Amino acid sequence: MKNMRGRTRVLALGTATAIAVVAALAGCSGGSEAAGPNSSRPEGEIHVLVLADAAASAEQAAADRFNKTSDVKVVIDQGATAGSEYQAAVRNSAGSASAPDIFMSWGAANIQPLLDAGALMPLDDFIADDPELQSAFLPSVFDEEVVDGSTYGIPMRGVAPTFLFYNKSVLEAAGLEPAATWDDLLAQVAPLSAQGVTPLGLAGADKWPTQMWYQYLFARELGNEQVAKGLAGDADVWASDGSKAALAKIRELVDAGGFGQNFDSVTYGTDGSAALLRTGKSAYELMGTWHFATLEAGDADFVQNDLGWTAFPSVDGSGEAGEIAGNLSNYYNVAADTRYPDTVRGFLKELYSDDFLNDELTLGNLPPTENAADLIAADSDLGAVNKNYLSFVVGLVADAPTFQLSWDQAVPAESQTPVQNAMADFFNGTIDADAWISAMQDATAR
Amino acid sequence: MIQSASRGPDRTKRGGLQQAGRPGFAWSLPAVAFFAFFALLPLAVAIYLSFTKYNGIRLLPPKFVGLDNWSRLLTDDALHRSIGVTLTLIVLAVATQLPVSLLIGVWAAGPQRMRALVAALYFIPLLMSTAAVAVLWASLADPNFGVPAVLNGILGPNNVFSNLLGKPATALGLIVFIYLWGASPLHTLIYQGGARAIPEVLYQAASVDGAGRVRQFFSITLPQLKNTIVTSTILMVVGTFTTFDLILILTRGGPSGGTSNLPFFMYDRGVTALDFGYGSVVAVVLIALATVVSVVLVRATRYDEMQGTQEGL
Repeated sequence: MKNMRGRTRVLALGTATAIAVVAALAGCSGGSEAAGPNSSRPEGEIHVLVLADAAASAEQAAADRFNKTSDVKVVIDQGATAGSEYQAAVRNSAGSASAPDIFMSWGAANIQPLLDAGALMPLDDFIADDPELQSAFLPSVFDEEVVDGSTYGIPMRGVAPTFLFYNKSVLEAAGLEPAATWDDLLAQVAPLSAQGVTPLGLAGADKWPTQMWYQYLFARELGNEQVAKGLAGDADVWASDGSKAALAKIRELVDAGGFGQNFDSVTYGTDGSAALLRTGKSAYELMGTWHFATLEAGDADFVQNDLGWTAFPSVDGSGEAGEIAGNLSNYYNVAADTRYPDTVRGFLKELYSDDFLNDELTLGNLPPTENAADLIAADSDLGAVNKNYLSFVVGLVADAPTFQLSWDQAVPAESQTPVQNAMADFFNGTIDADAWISAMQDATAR
Repeated sequence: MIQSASRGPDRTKRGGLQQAGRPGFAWSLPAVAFFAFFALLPLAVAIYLSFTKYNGIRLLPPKFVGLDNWSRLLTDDALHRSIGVTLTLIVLAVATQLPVSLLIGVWAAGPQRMRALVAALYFIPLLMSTAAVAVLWASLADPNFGVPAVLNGILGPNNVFSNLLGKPATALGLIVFIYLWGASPLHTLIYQGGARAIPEVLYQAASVDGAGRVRQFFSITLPQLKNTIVTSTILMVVGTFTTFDLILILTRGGPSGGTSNLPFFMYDRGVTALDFGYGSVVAVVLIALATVVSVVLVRATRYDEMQGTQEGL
């Protein structure tokens, strides 16, 4: 018993110490608002935090070019490889002297908490000095990080809309043409299934591929403008007739066996759905631009000879023809308290320089710029199939009246999982349309 | 059990060994400091954060919101389901790992060289990283290219294996199976050691008295392994409580939250959703639940007053 009391005392002592430390931490973290140049930042350099993947090489090359003529040097810091870790690092350091001057983000919802904290510099003055910072980019992509009339991010890295990929041989063997309308697509389910093929490959285990189907059906039935309202918290959008019509179409396609019986066990990361398409076990797959590289890594011959791509089929609804959805781009943001705003502005110009854009193209990223089509045509390193492909994507984006950011990225972080779950649960029949509607209303309520 | 309460060692009066080698408090200071800094301090921070709203941006320090986060506890169905998933996982893990490890461990304790070889092979999963294993199993579970595709040929289409990750029950079953595969070697090792420590004379005496193998197992091996069983079970329970990596990589809590246990739910609400306040509430719930379960286990098994099983030998 005596022993026991001793242990309790030690525990109490430890707890007291811990609480004292916490109190001290809480006391000194009462942060001040970051604004204006911070002179405790490193002298003579600005820091760019980049995601440490293959594309970081293009950013390093841009910095090297810039540093040749600049007194204040650009230092590229390679951060995390995973987006979530990268964002945690940005959030944690925001406002401190060791925070990066330039860092990347994923869209308006993604930067909103940093905006609320006053950590981002509005880039309107930069654009006034150098209009090309805006005019060089496709408006549908550029506008994403314009919040309340002020621009906070400049597009960088590739644009990645989603569209239908298909296996030419599989469609040929079934005597079919790529579906141009929703009714075509629905009518092709039976003949493709009869051939022992999964009509539409889907990596349902990951949920975000499932979400792509909603994004297009809602774009076609309601139009992206309505969708954006819904994602911003307009509950009526989700309960509207157009929404119900889109859900009914999804239900019909799933129930007809369009996705086979076990799509929720198929993953994207372990080459589940890509292998289906590549090996002729599925006919179509709705996926983002990067799918080309994924398929190429698995079987380059297939991509050269048998891979087809087409815009999402038309649907009789209120949406305009050609509205698209997917990942717009990443954006460079600037810390509100950067010590050298002029250097930052100078470096951002690199983002629309031909050198940087060509580097991005070589990496397989399609630049979100007005001149992307010309760059592709002029690029002698690209093969014919790659050129065709990239030109198709450029055309898709350029002709799109609207471009809706992926839903789970357009909502605040706390709604990301609920939105993804709603997508998967309605698809596999766990919840019905009414439950889906109220799930989306809850997830988007502000 | 051989000993009774009256014959057990009298702890209060016994001197000598009980007091020997027990230095003062100062000796434990490094350990206590370590524990305070890496266990108690984070725990205190989690409790503090659970009363605040904080999204990870230090420019906006945690804002005190009283019991706002805690009041969500009662109405959050997803959290309740997570508690259910966590407890189900624990029950299934113990129910599968305990008998398998016990039997294989006792078997592997035998002297034959073949047994040592088989046991060595059996221990291989223990050497692998859970993350790598999870990726491997994700490929094996693929309905079109993995094991289910092969089984379709044997069991016919749409059998229980053809949509492993798509149904909560089969997804949970797969996780339990992978844990059985990955964790039971450790427990087997513990049982092997325990079984080898059982004095041979007990079996010889039992043989003389005419006890067969089964009788020997239930009357000698099992009672002699009592402490080993308790230790191993507590390790299983604690290990399963914190299962996270496998779920994150293999199922991401799906389908429909069917494999979202408390650690994953905590990660999802805290880190993915950037709601460190509510994430901390889930963390505290996890700690409270784990504490209750361990106290119950320790009390029920009398782990705290564990005594030797070889009294009188």
